[in-house]
Amino acid sequence: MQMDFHYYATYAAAYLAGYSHEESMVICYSAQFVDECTRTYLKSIKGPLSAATTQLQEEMADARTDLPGIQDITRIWASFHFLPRDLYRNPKRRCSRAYRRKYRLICGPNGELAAETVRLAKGKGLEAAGVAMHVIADTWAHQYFAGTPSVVINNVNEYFYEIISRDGRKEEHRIRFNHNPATADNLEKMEYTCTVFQNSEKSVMNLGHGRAGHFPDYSFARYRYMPAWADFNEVVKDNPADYILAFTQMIYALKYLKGDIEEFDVEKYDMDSIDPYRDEILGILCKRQTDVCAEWKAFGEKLSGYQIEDFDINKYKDEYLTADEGGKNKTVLGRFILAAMSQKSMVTNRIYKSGNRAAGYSIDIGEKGFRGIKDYARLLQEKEGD
Amino acid sequence: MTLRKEYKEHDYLINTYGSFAEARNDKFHVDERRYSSILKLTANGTLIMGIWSLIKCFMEMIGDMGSEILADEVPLLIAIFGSAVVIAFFFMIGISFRYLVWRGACREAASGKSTNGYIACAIILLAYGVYAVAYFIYHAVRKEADVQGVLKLIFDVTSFIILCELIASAFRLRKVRKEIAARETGGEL
Repeated sequence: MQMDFHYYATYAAAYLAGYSHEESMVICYSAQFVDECTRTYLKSIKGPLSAATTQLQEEMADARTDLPGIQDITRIWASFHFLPRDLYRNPKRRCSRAYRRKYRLICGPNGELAAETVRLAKGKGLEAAGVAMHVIADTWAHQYFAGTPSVVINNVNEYFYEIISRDGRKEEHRIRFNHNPATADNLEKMEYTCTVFQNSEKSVMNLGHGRAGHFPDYSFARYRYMPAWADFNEVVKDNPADYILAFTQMIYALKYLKGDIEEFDVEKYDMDSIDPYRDEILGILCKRQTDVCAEWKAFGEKLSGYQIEDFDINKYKDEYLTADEGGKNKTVLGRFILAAMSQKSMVTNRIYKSGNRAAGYSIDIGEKGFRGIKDYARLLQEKEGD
Repeated sequence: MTLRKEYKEHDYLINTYGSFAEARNDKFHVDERRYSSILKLTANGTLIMGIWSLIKCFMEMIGDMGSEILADEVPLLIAIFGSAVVIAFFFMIGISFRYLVWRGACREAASGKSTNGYIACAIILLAYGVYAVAYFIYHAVRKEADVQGVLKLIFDVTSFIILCELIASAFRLRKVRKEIAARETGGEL
């Protein structure tokens, strides 16, 4: 998903869940910040690099694709953007162990990890709620792709059709992908950019939905395509329908995090909250535009009556930089960093415990004591402080 | 993981905007996509084999021509003209057949327009493949085969297998498409 949903729509969902304007701003900032918190940025604020929730294109270009490098990439992308749906699912056909590991990382909504993500954020503050909302939202947009470089899972081919409703008729048009990142997506001609085909299994070009470009992130997109893992079965994706489920699931999750609901379960959506605004929300989602930030912003401002500031990545930077060592964890960025490391730690641990080494090793600190990356020591200190 | 969309909690969307599309994952549509993909892949393989044959022929000609010119056995102009004629001949016979196979197979895979011309070309190339293997076996039995002959055999066998797969996929694809067309008109084959 893009900023229009992660920032402005998350604000609207938070407000509808009962948070105040100020609280909603922190939540939506954290949700969008998951797409901005790179190692480069963390270096600039002297933050722990293990808290990175995404990678710049330049970082991806420099990333190693040996085993530790792939595991590092998988830890980031599978934890925050391509949360696996079912870590124990097997493909229908017999396959190698390496293939099965990647197959089990395919993202999808309403999995056990999605529920754990929300429950993990309970009682951890607004920043943790924002991180959880980003993860939940992305499980809808990025479903059927995996957060690990793999051509046999993530590749798409020329069998990719956009479905459009025109004058009451459904039309299907083949999408043309080009590889020039400097050109903008052309909605009229249905030409979209995507990564270059690389038949190397571990090429970063085959990470996530890179082979389909930004297209899966557009809220208006309805399309039919053949994922590489699906054995010639096709998938029909309806983003407006999925995004409305994502939105209502976020409202439900935020109500749980706020304490209005006792338990959080998957496959539940707070449709009642959006009843008065259903047509308006659907209108925004179905609007054939690459960026609907303005529309979501107007909707959010209409809901709350307050002005929503545009996203500023450096909004809380000074607060973090000027805080002393003991006080950094109490700043917005500090709490975000803790929430991100907690989320990454949880997902890596679940993947490891399922017998899958795609995200590397994970150690149960409770059983074996602290080992490994020292950045996570602050997580332990925070828990002990609690 | 389901590949079909289950509309439960958002019937409102269906009522307002209509069910927009269903995934076609019955056996026939899946087989159609599978054989279409195999047909296109084997067509590309056939063409690449043809291009490689041409390059190899050209390299051999350059090598032989070079040695003959150096030995002053053949004047330069005659050597160049003769080579051009031979290359053109091989191009016409070799790659043109493979180009026709490639074009016909890709067209059938993409649009469903089936012709038998490219199948006939593929069968001719298959016949040549049989001849090439028999030629190698004959020379191997007489202990006249060399390393180059073995490499050529590997190439010819590979090309043979690709062509067999291409022809088989073409016929399977036609059968599946007939079945789909029959079902869509209400009957069955």
